[in-house]
Amino acid sequence: MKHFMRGRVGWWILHAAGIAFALYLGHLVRF
Amino acid sequence: MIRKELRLPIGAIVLLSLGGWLLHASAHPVSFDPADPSNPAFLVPFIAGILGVVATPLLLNYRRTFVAGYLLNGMSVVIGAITMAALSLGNLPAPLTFRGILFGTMLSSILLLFPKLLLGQLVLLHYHPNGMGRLFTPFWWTKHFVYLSAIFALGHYLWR
Repeated sequence: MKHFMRGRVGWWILHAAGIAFALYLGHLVRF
Repeated sequence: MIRKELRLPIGAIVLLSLGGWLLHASAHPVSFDPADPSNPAFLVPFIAGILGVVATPLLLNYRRTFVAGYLLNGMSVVIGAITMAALSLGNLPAPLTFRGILFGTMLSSILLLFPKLLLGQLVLLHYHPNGMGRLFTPFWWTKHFVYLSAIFALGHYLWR
């Protein structure tokens, strides 16, 4: 896990997934 | 079996997740009827609740996987707080009064969500009694809360 967190690839995958998810959620949530 | 030292915080996370899952189920049940155009965003708390009850406890139980459980738990709190705050700000009671802010918004649900973040911190301190350096400090969570809020707002206002 330490390796996964410190590895650049894991870090980028995690952040890309987080950004995509938050963008899509903002798009979905209507009020 | 959940390790003895972590049974209290992990048990509390499971109970809070189950309670939140049931609250969401009563507020906006997820429909699997293809004819029902219910918002797919309703699936987020539905899946997050199941993960919080089943996956998070198991991930938090092992040193090798606890970071994944910790992030799943913490990020579900951040995402839930942002979404509920956005929905509350979009449907503020009119006229806006102090009483309205306290009882007419989802403030109570947002506050009830935060103990999960603190319980996750207890689990982290079990594995790393002195913390993990710059990672996963209160400042780290505040920073990520601000970033995710900004990205959520971008998705809301620019992606129509």
